[in-house]
Amino acid sequence: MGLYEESIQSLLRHSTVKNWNAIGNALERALTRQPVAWHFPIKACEAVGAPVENALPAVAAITCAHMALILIDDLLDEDPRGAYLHLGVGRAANLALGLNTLGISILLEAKDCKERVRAAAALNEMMQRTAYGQDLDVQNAQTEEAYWAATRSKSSPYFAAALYIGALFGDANSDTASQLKRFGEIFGEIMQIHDDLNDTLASPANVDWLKGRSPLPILFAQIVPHPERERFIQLRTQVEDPKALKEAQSILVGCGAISYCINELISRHKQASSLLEDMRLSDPQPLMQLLEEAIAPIRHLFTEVGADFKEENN
Amino acid sequence: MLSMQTFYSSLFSPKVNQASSFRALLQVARASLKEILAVRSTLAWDTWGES
Repeated sequence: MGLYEESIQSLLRHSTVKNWNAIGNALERALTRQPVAWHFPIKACEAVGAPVENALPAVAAITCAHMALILIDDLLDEDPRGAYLHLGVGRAANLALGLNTLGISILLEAKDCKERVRAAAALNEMMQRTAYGQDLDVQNAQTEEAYWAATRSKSSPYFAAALYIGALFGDANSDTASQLKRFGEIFGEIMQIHDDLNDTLASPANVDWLKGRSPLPILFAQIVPHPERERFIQLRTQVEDPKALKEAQSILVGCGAISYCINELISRHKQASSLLEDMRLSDPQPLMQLLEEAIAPIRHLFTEVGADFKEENN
Repeated sequence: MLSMQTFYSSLFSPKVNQASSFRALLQVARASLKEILAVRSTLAWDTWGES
């Protein structure tokens, strides 16, 4: 049994879960649907030279946190795939609360980890910051400052906490754990930019277009005074029409919005790489691999358009 | 990291983009939507999706 399956089984055996069908059913489904970054605590343990088995409670906690965040995110987005549709809004929100507290309990009950209280505090802080960031997000940022404030609150904390808590369970010293947390924060921004690119280029128009949201490429096209700005703003109201969406997406390419996002990705990749070089890790390879996976799509894109990839773009 | 306005001005400035590695980013801006969409699947990182 892999470490992820072991972590889910440990959750299923928890006293809270045994008497609560909804949470048990959600965890059973999680056996085949791993959350993004579930493996980050393991990578942190590997990086600091600790046995990966140490990370099991951290994996369980991060999984609970992710499940809770998805429930709330789907409610806020009115996502047509959301569990609230069959559970009901109230039960979905309550289930999120239960998963959140279960994650914290798992950490506090990990008697083998001397930093379990600090780990639980970190998970709690992450959920708090993410909740704040989600609230900022639904207010639909229309400025660069507001966009980054929302991203740094709603996306970065999760990845930061996954690495930080993993480092604590790997007996990392305080400085290294903090550096891994900072690495996770930067990685979270990278993930959000990728997410925004993906959503913006989707066809048919996805919820960000349809609900008038401003993910990074769209925000760029609305802010900078490029020649097709007015046309873009006009098209935004018509994107249910595939032709209008295509034209709007073409404007995103031509005005430099996609290039801007790529430059932001490259800058953060460089920042995270630099941070990694400064860390005293037993094995930096797991984190180097994460970064490489994050930048690989950009290398691919540059190859496709016949450009040279240079990390000094800033 | 550059502000959006600064990036935009630099990207399309003949002086800047000939002298710097903005050339690659300018090539992306001059690519067709079809070329960009062809690599979209590799950019499929749904932050809150399952892996």
